[in-house]
Amino acid sequence: MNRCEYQKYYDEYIKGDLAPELDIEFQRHLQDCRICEREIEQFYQGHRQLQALKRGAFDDDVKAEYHQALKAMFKPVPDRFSPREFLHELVFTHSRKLRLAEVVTVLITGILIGWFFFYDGAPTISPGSTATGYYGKPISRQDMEYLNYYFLASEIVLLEMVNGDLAEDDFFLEKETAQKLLIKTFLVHEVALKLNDPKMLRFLTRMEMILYELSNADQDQLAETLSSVRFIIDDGQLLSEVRELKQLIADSGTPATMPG
Amino acid sequence: MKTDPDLKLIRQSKEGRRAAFGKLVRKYQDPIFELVYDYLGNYEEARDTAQDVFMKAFNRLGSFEEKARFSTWLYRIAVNQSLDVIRKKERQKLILNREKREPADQDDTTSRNGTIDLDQAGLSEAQHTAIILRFFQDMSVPEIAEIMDCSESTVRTHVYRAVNKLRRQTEFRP
Repeated sequence: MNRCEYQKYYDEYIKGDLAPELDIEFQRHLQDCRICEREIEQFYQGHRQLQALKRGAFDDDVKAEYHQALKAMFKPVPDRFSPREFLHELVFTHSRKLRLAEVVTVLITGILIGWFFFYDGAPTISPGSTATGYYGKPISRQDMEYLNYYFLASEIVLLEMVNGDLAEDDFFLEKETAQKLLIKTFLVHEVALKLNDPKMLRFLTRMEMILYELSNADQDQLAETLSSVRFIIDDGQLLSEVRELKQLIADSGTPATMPG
Repeated sequence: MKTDPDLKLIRQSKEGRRAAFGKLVRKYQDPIFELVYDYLGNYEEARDTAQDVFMKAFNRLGSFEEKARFSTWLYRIAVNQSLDVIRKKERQKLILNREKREPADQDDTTSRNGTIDLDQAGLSEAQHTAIILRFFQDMSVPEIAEIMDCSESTVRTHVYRAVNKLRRQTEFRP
């Protein structure tokens, strides 16, 4: 058989697949090459015979069984949970969803830790709430109950300071009691500042001073500390002040009872 | 090279997600079946072989390096699997003929259902593959070159020689 380097392009030329430049070049070549001129017609016959062998499209139902078999082979199976893989994915996979989940988890954990360690039921002022008011100033019912409880507890502690006997068994004023009440006093101080109540502020300042002394007193110093504290209480008429404040709060609408 | 549109599914499949590979199977199940059928010309054989192709692809997915497109890689598996089946059939035919001492049943270049008989047509496996991909699957020469892992020029030569061989066979057929 005669050979021409352009023979290999017959197929693509017949199918119209040649690149435009090559197609033009091939057409020019055909005009001059006797080999190609003769052979391309024969090649075209073979081409047509092959095209005739091409099968038609399959009906969908012909392949249904095959599709079904493949589907069964590669149907999704639930992955077994592997803690190791999960941790690996958590640490090393840069998936946006996973990162977002991590951020949310850290935030929620932080909030819960913060709430657990630092929230102590601190009273909050809620302007415009449905409370009855204190000196006509807006205060929530919850805060009023908290103040009520605080002044009741303060009165009891002050009475014990004044009348309690260290030698008696029922003397309950210990260092821890003073410390707890001191913390509550700080919180109520915040409320008083917001209410801008000078009487309450003056009382709380002196309560803080007394409670601070007791909180830091050792057992052997307690008698001496109590003696000085009693002087401050009497001199400052703290008992009458606490009763007055308690009454003011009670008059504002909240019953002066210890919350359950 | 353009980014492989199947890349995401391939990576998920490599991580062992069967559902992702299931999507790839659904995408290529028909083209692969048709290609295999063009080789074998028998529905049952084509169905079983196509299933083997996907199973092989799934098992070898770890070795797929993402240099070529997934479709090319899958077609290559399908071509090799089909040629394997044909080789086995040819061997069986040889053994049977030897035992019966009878000539082969078919005396035409094409079988009854239109597939090309390699023995009769005298085509090499490469020429056979080039013809199937070019004429029955309507693939371009560059695509075939990628699947056959050879140059475009080699594919053109395979096609040219195969068409001429087939033409001559039919010309001299009584």
